[in-house]
Amino acid sequence: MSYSNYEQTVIVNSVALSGVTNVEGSYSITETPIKVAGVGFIDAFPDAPLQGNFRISRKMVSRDPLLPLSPGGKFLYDENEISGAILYDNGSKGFGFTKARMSQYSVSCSVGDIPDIETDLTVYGELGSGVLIEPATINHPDIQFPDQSSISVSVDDFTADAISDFSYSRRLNLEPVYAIHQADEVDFTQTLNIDMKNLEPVQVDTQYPIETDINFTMIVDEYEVREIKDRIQAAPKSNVKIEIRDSKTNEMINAFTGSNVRLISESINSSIDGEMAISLTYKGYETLHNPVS
Amino acid sequence: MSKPYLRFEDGKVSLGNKDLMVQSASLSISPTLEPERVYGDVDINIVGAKTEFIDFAPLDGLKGKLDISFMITDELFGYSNGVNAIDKLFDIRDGMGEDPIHGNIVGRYFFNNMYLTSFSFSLAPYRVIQANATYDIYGTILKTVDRRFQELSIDPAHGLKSFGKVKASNTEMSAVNGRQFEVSQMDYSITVGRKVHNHIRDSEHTSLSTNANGVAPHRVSVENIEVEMMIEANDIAQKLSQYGEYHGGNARPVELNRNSSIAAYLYSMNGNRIAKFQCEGKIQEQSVSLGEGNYSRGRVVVKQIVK
Repeated sequence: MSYSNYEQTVIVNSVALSGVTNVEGSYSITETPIKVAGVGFIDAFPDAPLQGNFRISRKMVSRDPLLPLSPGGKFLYDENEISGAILYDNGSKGFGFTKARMSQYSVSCSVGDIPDIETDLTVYGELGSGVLIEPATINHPDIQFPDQSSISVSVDDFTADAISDFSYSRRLNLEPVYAIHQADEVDFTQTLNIDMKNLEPVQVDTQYPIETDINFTMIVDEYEVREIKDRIQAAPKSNVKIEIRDSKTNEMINAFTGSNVRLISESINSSIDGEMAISLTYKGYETLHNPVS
Repeated sequence: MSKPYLRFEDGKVSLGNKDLMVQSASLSISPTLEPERVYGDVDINIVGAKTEFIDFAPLDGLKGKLDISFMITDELFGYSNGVNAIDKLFDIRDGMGEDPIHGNIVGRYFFNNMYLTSFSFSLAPYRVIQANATYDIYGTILKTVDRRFQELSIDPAHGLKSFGKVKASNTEMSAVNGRQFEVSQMDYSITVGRKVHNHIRDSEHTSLSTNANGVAPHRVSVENIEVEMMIEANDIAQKLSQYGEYHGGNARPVELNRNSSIAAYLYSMNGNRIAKFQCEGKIQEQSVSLGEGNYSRGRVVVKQIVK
């Protein structure tokens, strides 16, 4: 028996996600081969922590439930765990994960498209069939659609020409710490065969700064590419804001801001196939405590 | 084509006639030589004698050293009736025997008169526990034929199933600093100091001329035994006193609670109990390091004098 796309539900933190176009889940075990003098290879044993990966691709059809903000205005899942599952067979079977952390989040869009969201998760807890087979308990945000007239990209130090596409991505470097299980001697003396599990990290931290990359392409009108020597000496910083609004109500769906980001790359493209376009790439760094200014 | 070099797969390491799961071995042997410089014949030009080099003279018998890196398995390590049952190849403890280990092969070489001097291992999450042992060797080495052996499966001590316990002056480390205490690595090392005894005029025996073995010690005694364990953790013990003790209250801990302890309880990958290694003594050293891109790491060293 097989399960069609309409028979599957992707649940993340108790929310059944909408707009999902693709989900990939995988795990890997790193082994080291054991070789002994006078014998050669005998067996292979794990030599690194288990690690799973989940990639969820979606169309932006609502306020993103994976982008809640903390009271301090930071993305909540920069530091918090995520769990979820792909359910099928009327929600009775599934492939789930626990204790995942977001490792990459990106949004991209071209004129005429609905923005695409890609979310990469690194799983440090359980991963596999039968894990977290639970229905969604939290309502999904209201469905809202943007169109090209309700998406804007603004840069605070110049007026952007017509923008044909943009991408925004944040990459989080995660540092898990694994520890030796601690127990009393009685656990050793009274237990012949033990099943202590030192499988999960005792701490996973995001390594700051979080690198933010913003790229957009403009159809050339007023804008002129800057001279590279001036650019590198001045190294000015800008604020780039991407706003995605509901095409009907103009209500904000999602907004992405690059604060004090620096223009690191400009490229110009001219071809017989289309208009002259300039692509700008900004890079920013989000810190834990000390804001970049 | 001839094969003058020995392959890893064909060079077994066998100590005390037991085949071991050795991953690397280093065997060295060297005489103790001193250049003999004497005054030569009279040189009329300087109206005296110049010094001349005659030869190298042996000051001691042949001495060798063997270092092996191997895996701990339940074939040679065990635990019963509350004590470790470890093969004498790796067992350093109070009351250990002084007999040499004979019947040793490393690759294409055979030798006798070997004495254990240290045993150590490192326990870390997700790692096969790698142990090391060092031996002193007296006498020469002889060639032997290439040998190999068959081992269809192995169940080595592994960090996934093993665990440990750390106490500072008999106080849980989580209580010492009032926060969660986590250990990311444990190193165990036990060493035995030995003294070589030779008979007077052994070096004049006629056997020295008939074979290469030279002077073999009459006895290699056990002089001292010391255990040291190191942990790498998120914390070190606060309120460390000059006695190497955790001084938590307003008086020095009572004698029963003065020692700190680190214990490693080893299990195999399949969950079988292997052995317990412990060090109970004073904190000798503590340090904390904090570097960019890494967590703060604490290091605590406890030392025990067994003998």
